[in-house]
Amino acid sequence: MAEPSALSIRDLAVQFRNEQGVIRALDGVSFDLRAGQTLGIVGESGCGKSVTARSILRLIDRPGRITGGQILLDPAGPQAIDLTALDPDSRQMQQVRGGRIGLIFQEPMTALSVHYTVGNQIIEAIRQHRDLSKADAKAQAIALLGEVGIPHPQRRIDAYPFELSGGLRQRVGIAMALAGNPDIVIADEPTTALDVTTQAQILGLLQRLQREKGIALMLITHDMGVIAEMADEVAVMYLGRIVETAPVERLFAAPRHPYTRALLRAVPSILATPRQRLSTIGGAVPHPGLRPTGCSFHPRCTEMLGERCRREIPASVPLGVSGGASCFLPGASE
Amino acid sequence: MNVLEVSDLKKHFPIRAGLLQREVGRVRAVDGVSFHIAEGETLALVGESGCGKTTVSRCILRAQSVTSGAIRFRPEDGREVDLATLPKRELRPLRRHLQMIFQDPYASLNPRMMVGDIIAEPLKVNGVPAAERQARVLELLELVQLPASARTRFPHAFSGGQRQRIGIARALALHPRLVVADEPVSALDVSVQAQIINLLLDLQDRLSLSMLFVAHDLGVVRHISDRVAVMYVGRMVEVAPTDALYRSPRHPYTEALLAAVPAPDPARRGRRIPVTGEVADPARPPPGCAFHPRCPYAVERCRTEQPNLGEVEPGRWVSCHRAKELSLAGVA
Amino acid sequence: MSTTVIEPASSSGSSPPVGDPGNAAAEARFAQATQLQLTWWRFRRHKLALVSLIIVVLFYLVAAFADFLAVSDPHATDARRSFIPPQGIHLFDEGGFNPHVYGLKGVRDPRTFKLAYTPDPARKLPVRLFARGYTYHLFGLFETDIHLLGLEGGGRSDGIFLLGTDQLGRDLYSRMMVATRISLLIGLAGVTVSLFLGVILGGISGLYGGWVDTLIQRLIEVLRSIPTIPLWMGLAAALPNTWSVTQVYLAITIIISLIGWTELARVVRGRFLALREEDFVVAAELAGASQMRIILRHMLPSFASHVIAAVSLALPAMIVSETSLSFLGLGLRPPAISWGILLQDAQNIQVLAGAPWLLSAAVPVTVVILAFNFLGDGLRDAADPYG
Repeated sequence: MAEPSALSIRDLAVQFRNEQGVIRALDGVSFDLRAGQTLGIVGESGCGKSVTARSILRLIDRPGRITGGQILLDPAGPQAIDLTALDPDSRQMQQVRGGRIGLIFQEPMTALSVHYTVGNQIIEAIRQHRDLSKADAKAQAIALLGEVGIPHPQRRIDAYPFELSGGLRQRVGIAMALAGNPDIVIADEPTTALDVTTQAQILGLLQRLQREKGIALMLITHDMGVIAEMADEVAVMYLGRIVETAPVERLFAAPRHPYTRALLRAVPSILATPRQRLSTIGGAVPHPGLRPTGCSFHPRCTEMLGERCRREIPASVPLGVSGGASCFLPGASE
Repeated sequence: MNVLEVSDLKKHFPIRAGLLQREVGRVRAVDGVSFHIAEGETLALVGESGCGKTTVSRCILRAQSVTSGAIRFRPEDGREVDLATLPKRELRPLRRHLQMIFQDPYASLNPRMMVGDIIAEPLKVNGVPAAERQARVLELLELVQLPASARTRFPHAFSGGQRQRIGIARALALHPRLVVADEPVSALDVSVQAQIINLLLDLQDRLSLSMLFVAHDLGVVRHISDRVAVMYVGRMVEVAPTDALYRSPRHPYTEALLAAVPAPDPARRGRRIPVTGEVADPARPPPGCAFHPRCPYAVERCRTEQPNLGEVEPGRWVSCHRAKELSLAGVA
Repeated sequence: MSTTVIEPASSSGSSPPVGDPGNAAAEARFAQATQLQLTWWRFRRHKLALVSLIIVVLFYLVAAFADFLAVSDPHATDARRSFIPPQGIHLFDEGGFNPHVYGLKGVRDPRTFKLAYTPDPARKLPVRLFARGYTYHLFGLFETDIHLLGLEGGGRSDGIFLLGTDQLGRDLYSRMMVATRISLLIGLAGVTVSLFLGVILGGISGLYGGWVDTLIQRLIEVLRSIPTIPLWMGLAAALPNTWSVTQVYLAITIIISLIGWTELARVVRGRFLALREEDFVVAAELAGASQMRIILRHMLPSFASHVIAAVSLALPAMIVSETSLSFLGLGLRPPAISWGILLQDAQNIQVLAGAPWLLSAAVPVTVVILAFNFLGDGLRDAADPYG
């Protein structure tokens, strides 16, 4: 892991305030996204994985608010920028969005307008970040559409988004994310809405683009299969905290956190034997507003040590050579 | 003994245009599908979006009318009805034998009714006396592993997984002959999904349920079904016992589908070659075999002649011209 | 089946809010709350709507007790007291609590030689609670002459003129009380007729679909495309002059609800169509429930709240319709009293310059319309937080 860090998240905390009280959506999240690597962020709904992506791009809307921590762009360089210190609507933040960090949505129509052609929107995105003439931008847009594997890009550039299939739309979504030539791309469940054969194509495309462009990819998903296929390093999230970090091989070979272990055993597999039962995790993920004290997994944990798990929050473990788990079990954190 | 036999089922949606709403084309959502479900058996209907699997299930429940074909259903021993042609009036008394588990646990429970009333509703409309209903609701709650106190609560107090249990209890209330489960676990988180899969496996064992399990997740299907039917653009491409289908698929589409599933094992990374192209439009399916534009094994015949579903070995039906000569890769 | 036994929250006493017994009780309360209760809890958070609800209730209380609140006969004319400006009640006198108003005194204007009646501070008339006044029927049933306020002693022309008087010397405050009753009731009656038509026709439209639906929808479109004022003018002109006040009243109600039902019909039809596709309705159908049971047991409770919200938004439209019709002289006619008729007196700019208090009838109209709108918004949000 010699690659320098492209993005450093340090103790990020995000809260949502409503009539019922304060919901701590993120509670001290730290990780590094390395240049040219893929970091997989995995967790069940409500774990905060999407909130993480949105806070990095400063897209958290009221009543949500970043209440602590740093998001450092180019942390090792001389001009490290702390994104939490920027105004979300500032020119600089707009340049970061798309120019430095691209975002791929689960549903590409989120990023696309139905009123403009695909070409219009990509050209506009290109010209927002690069000083190009319209004709040059159009040539760029066609090249980009070709690059993301859209057949006949010269013709498809004039199509409206609704004229495209789900798979092609997501390819356009990827082209939009790449329009500003970002060196970091955040993909928030990019294949969840797609069929399995299309998913395979899109994952292959992301792998190829990342290799060719040396992009640092942050891949958010709930699917352990996608993680196994794509990630170099993995962060497992539960209720607003990272509970385990690991290189992907180690995570699947020897998961250290009881939650990771349980999650891996609960995944239905195409390799299962007939009528094979799954291991389950009892109960359900609590509402983020009702976070248990101590280790937030303790009420569902089969390996709980006792009072300590109920009272103390185990320290989080940064990504490293073998990562570790935020857990009191012996051997979990080294 | 088969509970359900579907033969040559077709459901076409007309495309209308112009002032007079003249029919200008047809979406062949389901175009000649045949399969059967034996008593106590779970058949999974799999395929990608737009393949027609949901339409098939809706036709069986008669939530949709049928264009042509037969749906022979045996509500009791010795009786057989064709659901495809049955008038609505005669359908209602049959409803109790044919129940459904829904995909969305939030939309499928009436937010204004208490859980006990939701589960008792099918009993009530079918004339089960109050005292008996009470006992049956408790029995059902126990069956789906919910506390008896759930009866007096409203759905909003329950999590997605618990709501799905309530939906299952309602579907089982009348001892149905056939349960149609439409993606019953796809809206749930992994940890909860596993609980519901195990519950369904338990129920299969205890009640010898006959079930049509509509799903797109091949992992879930392998755990739960006895046999699998694979659909592509409105047609059945392969029907086979689960284990055999996964180990040695006989249709190139099945092979592509299995290869596309990312396995939760980094060691298997990069082994698969994704199938190219996009799912065909059911309004304009390609001539010949609908899969031929994407099929790496396609020959001239595939481009012109539509293959029919044929039994290639006992219990295995494939719709492919080259089914007997190809040797395809499955998953172990 | 689960591999873990969930620790009951109370056993880990140290972990609020899960372990907090008060919270557990709150949770149980939440779990067993009906949709009506949940709606009420959501509505309560909507402060503006809550205040509006109180205002609306107060208005209807005024409507119910209009004659009790009035101080003098709203129909009684008296040339001697025309255009008397608003007069306050003086609360203290001679160092003690002794509410009183001044009597009237005729003063001849030195330039015009016109006799004008103005308050005379020398003549104090005590104000009493629950005093006797003109005779009326409470709720149209019980004959009584008790009013909230009244004068003790004084001549025929003396009175309490909180909002002044009009040209004919009628007390504006008393007239406003009675006008409130008529204006609010005409709105309520109009909405009832609209609701009836809207639910029936919207329901048929949504239930049967097909050509019935098309017919009803086209009818709604045609009705909505007719400009309302000319339509009303035409219909009002068709009302015979010989009709009694009550007959005109009923006719006006029907005229304004003729347009009003279309919006409600749309709401009902829309909800009907949306609900028919809902999984829980399909589930009821699969259980073998009859069409009637599905509608009454499963669908109706789900859109009742929407209908209530739509009604509370339709009411102000009805009230405004009546007010504008009467203001234009097309609706109710004197001697009936409504807000529109009170405002009719304020049509003449010269009269208005001399007696600006005549405009005060515009205040309750504005207040009640705003209150209804906020209330309707609050109800809609509370009934359907997702739609």
